[in-house]
Amino acid sequence: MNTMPIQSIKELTLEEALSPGTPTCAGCGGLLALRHCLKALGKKTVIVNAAGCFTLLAIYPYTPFQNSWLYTAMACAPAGAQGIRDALDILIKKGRLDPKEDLKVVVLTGDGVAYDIGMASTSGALHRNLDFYYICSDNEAYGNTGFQWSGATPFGSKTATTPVGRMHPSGTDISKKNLFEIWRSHKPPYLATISPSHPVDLANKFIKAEQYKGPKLFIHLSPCPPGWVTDPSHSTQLAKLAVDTGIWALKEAVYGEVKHTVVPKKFKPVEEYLKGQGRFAHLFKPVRQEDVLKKIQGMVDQYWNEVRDKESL
Amino acid sequence: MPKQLLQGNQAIALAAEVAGLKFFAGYPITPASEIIHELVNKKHIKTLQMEDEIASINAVMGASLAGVKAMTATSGPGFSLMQESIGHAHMMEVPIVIVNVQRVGPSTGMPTLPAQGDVIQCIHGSHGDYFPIVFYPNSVAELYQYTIAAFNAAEESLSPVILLSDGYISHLYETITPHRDFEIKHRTSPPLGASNRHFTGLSHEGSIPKTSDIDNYRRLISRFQEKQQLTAQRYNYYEYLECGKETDILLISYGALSRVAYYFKNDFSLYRPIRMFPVVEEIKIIAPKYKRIIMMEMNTGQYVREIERLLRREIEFIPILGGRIDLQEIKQKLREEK
Repeated sequence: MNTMPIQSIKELTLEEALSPGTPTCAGCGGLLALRHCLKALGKKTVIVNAAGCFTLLAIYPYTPFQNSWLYTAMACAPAGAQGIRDALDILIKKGRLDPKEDLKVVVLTGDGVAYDIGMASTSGALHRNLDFYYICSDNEAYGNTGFQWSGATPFGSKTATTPVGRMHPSGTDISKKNLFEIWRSHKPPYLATISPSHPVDLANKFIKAEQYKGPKLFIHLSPCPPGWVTDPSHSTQLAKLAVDTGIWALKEAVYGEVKHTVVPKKFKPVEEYLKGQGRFAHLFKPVRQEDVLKKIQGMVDQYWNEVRDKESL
Repeated sequence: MPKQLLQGNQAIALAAEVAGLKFFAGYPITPASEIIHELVNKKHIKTLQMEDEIASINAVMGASLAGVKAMTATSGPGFSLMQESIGHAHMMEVPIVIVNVQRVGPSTGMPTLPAQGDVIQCIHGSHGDYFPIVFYPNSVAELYQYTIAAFNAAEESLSPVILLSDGYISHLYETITPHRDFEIKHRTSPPLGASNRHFTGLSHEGSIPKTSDIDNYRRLISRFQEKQQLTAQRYNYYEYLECGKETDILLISYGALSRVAYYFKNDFSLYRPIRMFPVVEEIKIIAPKYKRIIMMEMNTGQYVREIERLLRREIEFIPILGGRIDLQEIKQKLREEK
């Protein structure tokens, strides 16, 4: 087991655990993050996938996954993972499965599941200290059904169910749920945010997570070109902008202790991240909504001010 | 009234507005999502996207008990999640409308091809005995018309009314004239807050729970049954097309499939239930005229058993599975039956 952190992208393994050729949309940020996550996890895994964009990947035998895969209803992927983990443990105990052949149980969901319908099941698994990985691909809406609002949709974003109108000039008028903090309150051994634009940081977090037994959770912000109305070729750049503007904070929490892993030396204004996306276009045209833009910038500034105080950055 | 080109789901949303909908709660699911997409743009309707379907139906029940007309819309997987609360809503006598745009199941099935697999789930999905009123239209105009009927029937019966649709009908675009001169029924019972009322899922008499009074439970269930039958009689919707030529065969179908059946109107007499449950009893008068009855459904034979039970005779059955309605295939199968 490699526990030493890597320094550069050149140290990433060349061995792929996710084959090319998938039915996801062009420029899917989530797919890129998933590719890096699976690289870090290796091939001895079993994926438990709640209904979402990534369930479109696994249409056997035309599947990019090189491991076993189980589909669950939207609400209960961690419950499915519980059954698998316990069964594997029983088989190992009875001598019917060589411990070397043990599998990492990995839950894969989108933000709709993680932030909304599947929260009770995740809370149960965290509370029982289930030894599993949870990777949440957060594209900030229900991408698979036509980009409807989810608990992850940020303030100011337009979605199919939060259209822009006279009553709601900002589109979504409530803020994104803080899933990191909800999960952190259970004090799991390892919890981190990652980004497809920072593969070294991503890989190091998986290396670190491996030493812990219990829930290991990851959330990645993944640009979604059809929903965000962006150019598919800009996805990685957008993911990086989210980090550089401070909108997406890359951090980890070990048993609830938070540490930020990537802190931009100089934060870019959030506008740079927002203006490239169709879902925020109404904030700039036909009239520039200065108050909304200021509020978004204010929320980001407030977050980082609190971080600076706590972590003395 | 000007004509409008509407999608089936848009017609449901428009009709709900006309019927007096004030509160909608739902969760995204294909092929029902367009209903919430439409409703979020309506000024006088509070439309909420909830965290799941269980939350959706319970929010709708709360709104209804507090005194406003409320609706939710979903497809098979969401309808399955709602089942416990549907029984609960029957026990508490909550007037709500539940739209179920059916797709192939079980589970995720063939996303998101249409099917008619949730017919029996409408009446037996929740535990215990309850007697829902269920409508199943077959065109955009009918979706409009029967959404209004569903709201009226809900208010009259004080119970959840189910409007069935399927991926074909709901995604169909047709030109309709959305009339607004319907009679709209209003609730007779006072809303929550008008008095000190308690609503319970327990067996009860009035607001008082009676968990061990067997006679009371029997009275309660038979009252529910009678009430539903009585209301249903005012919504006796079906379509019967007698064949011009002499025929001894009656072809029964409903929903999307019944539109294909029209193609055979010169060969067979056609019957189409619109109020699916309680089963329209007129079929008892129509059926004896025919030596043979053939039924088509987009499932393995759910409604055919209901008709057989009512008529006490055997019906030939043609299953059309997997979401494909192919005229040639149906012709072939009918020929085999002949």
